[in-house]
Amino acid sequence: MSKDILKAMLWKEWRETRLKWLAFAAAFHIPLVIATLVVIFRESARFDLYALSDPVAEQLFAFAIVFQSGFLITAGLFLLAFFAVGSIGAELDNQSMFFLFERPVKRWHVLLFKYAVGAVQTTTCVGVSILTTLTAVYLVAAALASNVSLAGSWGSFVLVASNGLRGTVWAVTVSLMVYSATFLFSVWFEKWWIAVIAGAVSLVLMFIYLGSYLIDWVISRATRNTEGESVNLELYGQLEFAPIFGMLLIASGLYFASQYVFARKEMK
Amino acid sequence: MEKLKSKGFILFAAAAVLLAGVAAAVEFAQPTKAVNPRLERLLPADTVGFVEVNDLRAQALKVIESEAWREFSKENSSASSLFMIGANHAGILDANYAVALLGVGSGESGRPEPQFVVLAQFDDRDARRTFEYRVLRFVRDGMSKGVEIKTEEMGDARVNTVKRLGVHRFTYAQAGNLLVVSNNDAAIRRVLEVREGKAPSLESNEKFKQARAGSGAVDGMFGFLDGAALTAIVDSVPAGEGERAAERVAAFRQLFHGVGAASVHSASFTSAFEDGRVVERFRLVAPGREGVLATIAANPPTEGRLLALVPEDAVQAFDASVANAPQTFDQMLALASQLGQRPGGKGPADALAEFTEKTGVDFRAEIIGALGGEFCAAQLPSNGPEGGHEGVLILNVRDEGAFAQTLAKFAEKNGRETTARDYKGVSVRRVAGEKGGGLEYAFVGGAFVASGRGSAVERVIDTAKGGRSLRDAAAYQSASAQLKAQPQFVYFNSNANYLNSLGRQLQGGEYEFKTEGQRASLRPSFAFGVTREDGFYVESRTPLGTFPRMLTAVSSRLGDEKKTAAAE
Repeated sequence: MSKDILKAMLWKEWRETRLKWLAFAAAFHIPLVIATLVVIFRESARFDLYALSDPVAEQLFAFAIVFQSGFLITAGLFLLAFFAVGSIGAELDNQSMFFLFERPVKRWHVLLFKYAVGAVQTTTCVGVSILTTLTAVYLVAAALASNVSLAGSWGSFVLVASNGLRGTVWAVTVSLMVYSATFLFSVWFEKWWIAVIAGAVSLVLMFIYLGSYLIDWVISRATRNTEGESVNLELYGQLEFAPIFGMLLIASGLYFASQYVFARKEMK
Repeated sequence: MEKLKSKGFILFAAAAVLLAGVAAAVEFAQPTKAVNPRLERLLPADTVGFVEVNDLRAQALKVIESEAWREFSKENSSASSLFMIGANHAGILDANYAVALLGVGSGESGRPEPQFVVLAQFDDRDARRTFEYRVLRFVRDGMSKGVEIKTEEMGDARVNTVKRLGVHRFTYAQAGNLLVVSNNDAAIRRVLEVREGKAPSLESNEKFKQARAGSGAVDGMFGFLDGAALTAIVDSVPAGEGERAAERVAAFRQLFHGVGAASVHSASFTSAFEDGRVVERFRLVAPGREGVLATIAANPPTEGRLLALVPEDAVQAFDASVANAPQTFDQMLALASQLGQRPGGKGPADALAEFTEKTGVDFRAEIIGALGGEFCAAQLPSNGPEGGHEGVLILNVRDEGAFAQTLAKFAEKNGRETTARDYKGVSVRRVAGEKGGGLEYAFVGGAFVASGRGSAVERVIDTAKGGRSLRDAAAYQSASAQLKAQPQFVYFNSNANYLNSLGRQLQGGEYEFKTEGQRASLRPSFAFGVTREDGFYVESRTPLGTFPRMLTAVSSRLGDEKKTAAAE
């Protein structure tokens, strides 16, 4: 496979999915939209925001990353499944995939590109959303709160952001695993809605068996032993090798399963 | 995915955004009950007096925005935020409150009792329920066993009478977002009748209308007292059982009329934020004033000359005209003599005679009678190693020599050592006191200057000898620029210590505030009182007025209640 073909395929994937990626990035900031509505419509929330001061802002920032992480590892995963499900199935359904097969590329190369581009987009959106949400909260607090300034709360912001990176690792890992599963269903089922149902069912099953652990690893510990504060940052998203490695392993397995199914798929 | 691209989906999304926008506009355009305050509409026209606090949340926001709170937050950033957030979540801010005295009615036993009501008008039902849960429930629980609640409907209102062990404790009524609590059943009914339009409201009371119009503010706090209604109550209070009770009632009535309270037409009070600080105005309307009130009103205004002796760095100073002090004293003495005279007991004249016997000084003639036209008390920052503050008293006296003689007589009679020293050509005398204390005094420019610390007297002498005085200070001049007429008294506070005292006010709850070592350059507080043709007018400008104290009181009480409930 030549360099030109590689560039062309990357360009094709980017052209096809950039709007979807944008919508996906926006959708992953739904907690910010909810928070905005709460601040607009609830006087008491506006009051709390207005009464904040620099040292207390740290609690708001910590709450923001916990809330965003909570969204990412629960409702956000369904969103992810919805967006990822069109990766292959749609192109099989409308038979546009055959244009690719006309090119001098192997079948597994096509799938690899699609998986890689989708995975990078998905994990970037998910991972960055924690930091963009935190940044938005930081800017809004400095703009609206009477005793919060950008300079005064910078230390709190950096502290929470650095702790937020651990949450990013978890969110990226979980989302990669879910993306891989949904990708497999997208390869497996040509009709996108069947893949969506399969993805949703598998997510529900994942929550039944893994959900409580996942929530505990990422957010519960931080909100349980708070020592009088709303969030204990030290306990937020503590990195654990076994589950993270396990999820990466599952994601790899699902990818290879997708390659296996794709290689043997009968396409008409 | 195709659905995302369809026109229908885009239209649906646009409609949802539009709907949210309209809902937001409605939310902001329509004032809630708490920001549209007129609790007088719910009180009977013959209400004796009431104090209302309008939209507590707006007041709390103004506290946050104020100059003082911003400075305070720099020193107590966590605690000040948490204090306000705590008050926000105590469920008390989304309402207007009023406390009123409706009059005197018959109690359960048939004996007369004052009819007090507390009104709370909430933004919504949630706010009302929160308040009920937090307050009424705790009150009921606090009374523990034997509590019995009788409920009846009155129009759309539900009236609950709370008894404990068969004795009536209080009654409260809920109607929509309104909550009325009273010590008396009849008072609740009167409020509900006004609410239903069956009886005229206080809004239709002419005196109230004048007071409201003259207050110039509908924000913050407002208080009103109907002088005639109060006089009617005092005059109609039954004598009570027993000779002593009758005597007490008669004596109080006599005192009430003697001080001239019966000549008060109305009194009003407002407290509101202006320019980041609190302006409080008190207005007493008494065009035909009588008794002590008339004597005080006849007092000439203060010229503020003694303020020229107060050093520039004074923390606070109070200057008042006392020209009519002898007449006022005589009137009060006469009143006290009439009231306090009991067979075999000591009257005020006996007390004065005893004072003369013990001290060798005739209090009326040699102290009160020696006073000139002006009185000033000031607090100065101490320059000594012990730090703190030192007080100094400056008085105009009619005759320096006679006043000095009086003090010498007092010292001699009590066996106190008297010494004198010279400071910059002025003789500073010292009368030794007990436990190493004493009084140092001097006469400076016809004024008597006294303090427990000699350094304070010396600093006044320094000022008299050309040092900069408070009256020359830019801060004082800027603060006193608001004077609208020649005042009877003025009060100045540099607020150098304000943040520490605010910390002490707020202390005691769950938050730790600094109470020492905070300094901020706040604008000074200033208050003055003037006599007008129709009565008296007092105005003050302070950093936060009574709002922090009120917020602390309300939120900390509820906080305590919450803790109690949690413990149970």
